[in-house]
Amino acid sequence: MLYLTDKEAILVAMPNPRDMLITLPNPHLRQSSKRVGVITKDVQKTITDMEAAVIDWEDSRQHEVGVALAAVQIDDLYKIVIVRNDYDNKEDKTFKVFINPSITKFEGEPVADFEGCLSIQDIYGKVPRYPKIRVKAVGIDGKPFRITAEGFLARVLQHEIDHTNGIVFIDRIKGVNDVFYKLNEDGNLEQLDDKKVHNSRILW
Amino acid sequence: MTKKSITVVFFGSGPLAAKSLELLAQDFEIEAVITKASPLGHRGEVPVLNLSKKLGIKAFPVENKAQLDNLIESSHFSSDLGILIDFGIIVSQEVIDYFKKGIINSHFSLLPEWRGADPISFALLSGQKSTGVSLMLLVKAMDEGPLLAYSELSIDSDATNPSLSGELVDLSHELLKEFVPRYLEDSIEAQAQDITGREVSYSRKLTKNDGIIDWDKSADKIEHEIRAFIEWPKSHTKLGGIEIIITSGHVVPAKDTKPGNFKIDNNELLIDCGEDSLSIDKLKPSGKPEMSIQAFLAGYTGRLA
Ligand SMILES: [Zn+2]
Repeated sequence: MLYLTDKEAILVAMPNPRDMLITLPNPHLRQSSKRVGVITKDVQKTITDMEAAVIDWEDSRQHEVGVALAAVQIDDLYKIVIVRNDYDNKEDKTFKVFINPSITKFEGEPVADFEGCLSIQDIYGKVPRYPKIRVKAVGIDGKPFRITAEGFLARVLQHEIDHTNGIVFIDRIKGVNDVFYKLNEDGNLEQLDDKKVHNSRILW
Repeated sequence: MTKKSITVVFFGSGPLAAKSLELLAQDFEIEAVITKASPLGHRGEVPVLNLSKKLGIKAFPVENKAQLDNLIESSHFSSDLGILIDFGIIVSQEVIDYFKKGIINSHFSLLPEWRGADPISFALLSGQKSTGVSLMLLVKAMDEGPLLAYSELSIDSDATNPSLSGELVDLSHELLKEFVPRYLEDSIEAQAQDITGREVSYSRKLTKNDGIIDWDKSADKIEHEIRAFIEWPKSHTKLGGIEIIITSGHVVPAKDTKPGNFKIDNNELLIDCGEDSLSIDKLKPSGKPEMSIQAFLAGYTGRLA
């Protein structure tokens, strides 16, 4: 028999922010999110929850950085994306907010590189993405803005905007061989057996 | 979206390497540390090894180039990049090539100025107004690799070896933090060293004899030595039979000097140099703690003559 002190009971009752995250095979991840109309208190609450979920998730992961998140990943199906301001510095826990983001222009030839997702535990894939894109979105202040993103940031935004349209990164490399990897306990990426990936019931 | 943390293997041996490692471990995942088992001139101390234990990072002590080659040949590291700071062992091309992205060396000068083992001391000795940090891609030829980034730092007129080293370690950390991710993303390109506009010069390891003050040198030069040698080998001399270490002094213009002669004047101890005189501000008599010149003169004047 296990007895909890009052304090422990409270801790058990309070879920970790990372528990808000949904993962495959949750079908919501393949649904398109709705546009945000007015930036209400609820929208602000969603953003706060998203930030908390990423940071809490990262604290539970030894070898990974939580770079960005789309609202659908905490099961809030609105077109809201947050991107870490400095994803090379775990101490910087601030984010930039993109509401109703969309890509207005793709430039260059797609480059394949590793990406992972908070909604697909431990799996990394080499996904082709455009090296340069232009994005328009609305800020947390309600003002529209445009940015040009290159390199890794361009990759991040393509990944997240895909989420708002019901696409997860593995959908971009479905059926492709030699591009799926698993992150092992030591933090190394090991190539996965393509057959197992293609036949997975969780992923597709 | 998530990404794998940046993982590197760290090569370093001396105290500056240890300080750098401590800072780097906040930003990158350190897969392993390779360190010199007995760093030269550090009198049996193994600061990097001790720190690795504290941080829980796997450490591999090696004695020389051959042991390093063997270690790399027989190990499996998954990192694409090595970072090398104050290592003290020559790194072979095989070791550099083991890492997909090579090895970045953070060198504490604006290359190609002060290549070699002790760029910080030599920048201080030269009396130059500024130095800096260079992030260099390691190549076989010593300190001749192309630069990924560099940053200049002004040298305070009263900078000492430890104060300047501390500032350079911090600057090096800032540069690595910013430019290692950009290098791994292929968003920066290495440039030949002449981009810094500095001339080629060479530093070397200091020796114990460097600490013996040669009063034929100019007072200016000796004052630089005092600040550069303050931790080791320390600028020392014999004054009327008393062995002293000078820890601080200033130049006093003088003509027709007799190098090595000294005079006590108005609570000042002036020693003639090859050019001008040196007025001692602080010193440490053999076996005694550091003291001001006033305290010294109060206790020792009678014994100096
Ligand atoms: Zn994702």
